Amino acid sequence: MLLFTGGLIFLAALFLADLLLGSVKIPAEEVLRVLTGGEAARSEWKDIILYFRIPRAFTALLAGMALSVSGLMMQTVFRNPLAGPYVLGISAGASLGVALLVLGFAGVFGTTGSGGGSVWAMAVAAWLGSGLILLLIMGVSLRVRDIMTVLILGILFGSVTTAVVSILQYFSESASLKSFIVWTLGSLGNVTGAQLRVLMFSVAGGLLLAVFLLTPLNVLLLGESYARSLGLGIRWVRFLVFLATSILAGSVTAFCGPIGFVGVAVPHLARMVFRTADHRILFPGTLLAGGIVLLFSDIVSQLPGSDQVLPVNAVTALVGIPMLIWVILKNRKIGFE
Amino acid sequence: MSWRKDIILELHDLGIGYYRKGRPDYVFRHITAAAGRGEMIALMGRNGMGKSTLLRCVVRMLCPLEGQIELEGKPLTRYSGRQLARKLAWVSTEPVGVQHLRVYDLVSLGRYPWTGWMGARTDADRRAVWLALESVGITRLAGRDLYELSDGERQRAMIARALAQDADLIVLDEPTAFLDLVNRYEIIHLLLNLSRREGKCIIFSSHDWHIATGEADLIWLMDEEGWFAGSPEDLALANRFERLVDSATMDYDPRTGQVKLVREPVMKVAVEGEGEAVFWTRRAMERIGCTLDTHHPEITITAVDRAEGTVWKVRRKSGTRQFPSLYELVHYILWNH
Repeated sequence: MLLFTGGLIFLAALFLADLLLGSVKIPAEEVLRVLTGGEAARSEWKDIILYFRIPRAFTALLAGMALSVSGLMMQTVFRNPLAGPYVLGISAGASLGVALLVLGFAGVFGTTGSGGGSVWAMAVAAWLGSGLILLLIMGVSLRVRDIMTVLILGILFGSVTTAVVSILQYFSESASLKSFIVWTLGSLGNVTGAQLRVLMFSVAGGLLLAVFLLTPLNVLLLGESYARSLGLGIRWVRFLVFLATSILAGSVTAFCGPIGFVGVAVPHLARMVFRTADHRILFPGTLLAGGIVLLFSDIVSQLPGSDQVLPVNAVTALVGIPMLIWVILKNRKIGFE
Repeated sequence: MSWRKDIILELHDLGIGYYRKGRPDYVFRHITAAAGRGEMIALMGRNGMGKSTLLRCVVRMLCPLEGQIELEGKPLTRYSGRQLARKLAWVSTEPVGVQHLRVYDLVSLGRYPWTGWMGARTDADRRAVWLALESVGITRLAGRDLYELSDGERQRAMIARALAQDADLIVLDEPTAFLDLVNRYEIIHLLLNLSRREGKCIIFSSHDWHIATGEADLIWLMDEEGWFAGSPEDLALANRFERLVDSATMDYDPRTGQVKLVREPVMKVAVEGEGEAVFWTRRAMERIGCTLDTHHPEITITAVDRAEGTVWKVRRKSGTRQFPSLYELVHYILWNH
């Protein structure tokens, strides 16, 4: 309980810090005045806070939670500490979907950019792409018992997908190419009001689905044969976990680009902090830790004090990988045998 | 078996094995048996005879190639996963390699067939979990990490998990493997208590034929001659043990039911004296392959009780020697005969 309270306070503090810091310097009291419904000294400050920083902080929070929870579920289902949305090529699948939309079909249908209609188009394309990869992995995992094989195949699927994407890139024109490249670098700042609503509903839906899977995931910890002997419908649980992951990771990737390492590292962080394998505790724990880590990464990516901004993907790797190394070195083994 | 009302499991002319290239490849055929409430049954047979395969058929991890299994008079195939889990619990040799899994949480997963996705949360569930922990004598370990337990304690925890499932039939695959002698006896004793006191039907496979034949109500034997079911004594009378230990290096004594490694005869000895020392001296002689022969011994050993402890006097044609311990006596006989 103490850990959760402390985590919540830390999360709130980071959220506030994310609103206070940015490439444009705004005095703290001005930010607070806008947040409490007042007027800022300069009108553009109010616009920056309301239409840029608040959506951005919310996006970081949602994306961190969604990616971390899908990582938690995937690690349990695959019984592998390195599993996660990114490692298994799901983000690569999403990027294929978006690449096909932005690079492939844009020329054909004449729709480009970020108009209102393409919000849904982008999301659906990413969902379909990540769902495709997940279905492939699911099919393999039903046929191949050795989970290491499944993991390797997942990485290979990801590579094939990346190859297809690079072909698309090669043949596309520079304007759409640039918008795709920017998408792959990951960004939390491009999610506008309408997109944020879509993201919020998708993440809420995915998380709600995950809540129903917590006890089945606990049962899966015992291994497949025990889970079956307890009457768990393994195929159903797998399917639902893949569906939830596809919704969570797929929509985050659609709006923010592929954000790596958060999904792999945060569940381990939660396991270490809360010292439990119980998903009913790990789920809120992972939500908290995921929000914290991505908010922190977002603050770092804005390089407070300068007017430069780093791609968030680079920061999550720089934050997430040392975290993983720390967990591995401290525990020797992580989570599963 | 119509005279018995307590039958819970029946196997009708079962053939087990695997499909190879679409054709049935039998491991064992013509298994017919019945198991009753309150009975402890040991499944025995050499490695590769199909013990695990049979058990996996009984718990429906595998399908038998022919014949039928009935649980409480209803074919096993007609149960849903959850229905089956409420009647039949399974303890395999598969290790549960999860970190930070508390014993209490592990055991409460046994409630899954009764609770579903909500997990164990009612008072009745909690009571069942504590009762299970108490039955196997590990209530004091409830808050401990599964990882910190010894092999014996972990096996107890796995059995408690099966007990929490509230099933009348518990099937265990080699529950005493990897355990030391005391733990092996304690686990078997625990299982016997569960069958006697709580009326469970317990079926376990074992290589520990000393313990199994000493404690089980019923032996299910799989050997080259075929299937045999009967009390341990029935088996002895039918001369079926000899085959179980039939090998060039093992020797079975039908009078005592003892098994020994076959040794090259060393010499004929006579052992004289009084009390415990004589018994253990004879044991030592048998262990090194001496034949006990009071009529025409090559040497005669006399165990003499002295105030400072037992000494052993050895008489042979060449003269007399004295030894302060059996170890030195054995060394002398082995290297100087």
